[in-house]
Amino acid sequence: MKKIIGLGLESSCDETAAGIVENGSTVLSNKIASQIDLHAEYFGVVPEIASRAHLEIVNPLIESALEESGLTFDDLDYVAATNRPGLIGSLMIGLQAAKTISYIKKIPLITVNHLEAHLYAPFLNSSAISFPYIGLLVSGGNTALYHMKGIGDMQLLGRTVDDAIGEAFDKVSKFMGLGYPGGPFVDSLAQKAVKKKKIFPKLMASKNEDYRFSYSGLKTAVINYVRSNPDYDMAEVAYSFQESAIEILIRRTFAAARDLGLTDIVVAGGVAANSRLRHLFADACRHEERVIIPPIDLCTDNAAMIAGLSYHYYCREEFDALDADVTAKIRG
Amino acid sequence: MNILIIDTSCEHEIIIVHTDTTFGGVFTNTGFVHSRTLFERIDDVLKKAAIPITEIDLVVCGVGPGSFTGVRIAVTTARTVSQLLNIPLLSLRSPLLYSMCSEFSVNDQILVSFDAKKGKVFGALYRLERIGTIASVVLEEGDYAIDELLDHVSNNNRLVCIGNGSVKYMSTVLERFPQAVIDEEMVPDPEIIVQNCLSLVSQGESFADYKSLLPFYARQSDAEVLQGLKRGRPAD
Repeated sequence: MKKIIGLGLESSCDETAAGIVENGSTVLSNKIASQIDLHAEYFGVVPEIASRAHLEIVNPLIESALEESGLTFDDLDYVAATNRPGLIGSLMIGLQAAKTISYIKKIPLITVNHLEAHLYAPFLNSSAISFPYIGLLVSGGNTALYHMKGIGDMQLLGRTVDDAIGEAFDKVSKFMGLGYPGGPFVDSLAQKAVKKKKIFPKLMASKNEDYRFSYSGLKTAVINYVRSNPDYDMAEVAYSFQESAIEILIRRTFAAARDLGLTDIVVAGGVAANSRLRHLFADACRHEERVIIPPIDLCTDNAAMIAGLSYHYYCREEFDALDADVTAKIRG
Repeated sequence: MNILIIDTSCEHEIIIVHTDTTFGGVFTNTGFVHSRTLFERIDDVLKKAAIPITEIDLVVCGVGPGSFTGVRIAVTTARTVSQLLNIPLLSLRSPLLYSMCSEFSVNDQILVSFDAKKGKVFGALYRLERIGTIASVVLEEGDYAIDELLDHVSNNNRLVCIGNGSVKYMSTVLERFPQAVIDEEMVPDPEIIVQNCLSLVSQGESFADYKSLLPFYARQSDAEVLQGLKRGRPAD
């Protein structure tokens, strides 16, 4: 069987990445340049700063990915890039570099939905992907639940009606004077809680259940609590906030899986690196159910997932033209 | 020497291919959709010049200042072409490329300006000292109020204004220089651009590579400006 080698590029937000994957599964290299330091003083991603940084690093990163894999541009069968959703100016950097490679090397260009790629990440260096499954995507920009039916066939079941979960972690972290991005700081602080008392209410607890999420109320509750309790215990607040934030994910995700009769659940995105989330999802799993969460290095934005997913489009000969565009948001 | 020249710093695209025996060039208003249009036009121009891209020896890239995203499209493309083909890059400020028209006379003052919003333009002021040469810089490329550029214009010679910045601020320009020529239709001349690029190469202009070629933005992001103001730091 011929080995199919793909280069993936990712630049949708604040990480530039170049990854090389063989046959959609074996990761040969996965290079990521994080911009966290550039955005830390703003406590959020500044789109223009992100775009400038992507441009500066994308070519050296491609070189580094090729070097690590021991390959050259001539070994590539296709080149793929995230083109949706994301920051327009940032997406364009990866896509434009990919178009140039496609044009010069005369190999197919494949554009990829970043969200679908995240939900493909657990299948890299692992068992072959098998459909259908429930996909929960949790990151700084997204909190959404999908019914994954096949490659390119994902049905949105519900998403956040306001803040994404990662955004809530960032805002709470900022308000408590912790660092950016907030997730790792809150996760670490919560582990120091002793009393583990429930301070914040269950989110969207109405009986009229659906698959939506909401985090702005929880964020406001934390801020109000901190303001009203100047001597508050930071670890206890971090713990209770995190518990509430994760509880709704578990309730919604398992409800969706059981409603649809699905037993495989994939949790992906940057917040899937949270240690408490990983523990609670494993705990909530019935014996016939399987929760699949990628290793930490494949939770955050990376390009191995772009190259890996694109392999399936390559096999279906679903290629893009060189006038392919980028899209900030996607529907459904 | 086979040269590819690209600039996408404003709503127009400049794409030129030069070989020792053939030539192709387009100057097209595509709007700000360069990411979508650039390769179709590069391909067209390469076909006109009857050369595959793999035979290009040098890429000349307009690096701004201009539309941030627009500039990045050309720079990303140029860097990646350079990386793939292992060829050098030559960086040129975009307003200088736009000053290379065929309709100028000796001692003309050439004001190139692109609307930069916030009451300013990305632009520069040049003077053409000799036909067939690169205009000399009177006020270097940057982020200016139109008046800052006009402050450097002399009354002794003709003022020719190129770019949508002078169209937007036409009343200001004409109030101060009633004889100024503001010509929306004036376009850079591909053959003059090529001659000037060859001239720079022969004069030993230093090349960039795919890691060192960067846009010249001339302006910080809004967030950086705001953060600087909070800290009492002036914008760069």
